[in-house]
Amino acid sequence: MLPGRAGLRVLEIGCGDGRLTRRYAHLADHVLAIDSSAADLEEFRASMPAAFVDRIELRASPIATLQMPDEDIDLVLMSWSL
Amino acid sequence: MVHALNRTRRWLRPDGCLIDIHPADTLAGVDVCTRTEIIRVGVVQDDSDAKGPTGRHHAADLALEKAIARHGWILDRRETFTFSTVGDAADDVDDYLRRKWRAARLDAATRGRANALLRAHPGATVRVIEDVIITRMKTPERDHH
Repeated sequence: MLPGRAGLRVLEIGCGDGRLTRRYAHLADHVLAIDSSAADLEEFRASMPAAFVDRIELRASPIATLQMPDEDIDLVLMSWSL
Repeated sequence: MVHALNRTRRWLRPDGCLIDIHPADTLAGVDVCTRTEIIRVGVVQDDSDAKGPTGRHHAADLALEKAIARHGWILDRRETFTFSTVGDAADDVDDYLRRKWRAARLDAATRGRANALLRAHPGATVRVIEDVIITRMKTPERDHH
């Protein structure tokens, strides 16, 4: 399902504690993982594998107020957030 | 959320795509996994809304259908797969569900069956397994690139 390409840039909406992110992050060049729960993001940060620290960027933000450059990402991933 | 979903369109590169993952309209199972077998001990209790335990899953289906029908997303691919969450103890899994899932829990009978098997099989784990629908979508204008 994931686009198989070099330099894959992902925006994950509703990442929570990262239970999904950890399973695909090795395939991406950069993941911006957002969630409205700062507590879940802190849990994610505390348990993040060292190999992913430079690859996964965590941001506490609801999608409604997120600011992003146009045409910047290859994949938007909505994880359990609809 | 459909509105938010459409906000993301401008952020995608021309050949980009959107993937939604949400639970299927089924109850998540609870298993104990020993070294030699997997034993079903119950299902996750979910009281998240008045429409029934799987009502919110149905709502997610409807939100996707709306996005496709009214906002120009094209359904590219859809599959069902299983997603598992594993813990060492039934109480840990119950605590996780109560904190992370909306109004979900393991009932006392399921916890009891799981704990009995965990005592009988050192090293066994408790697994919650849910059916998940993964949907990949793209936009019409991007379909021509």
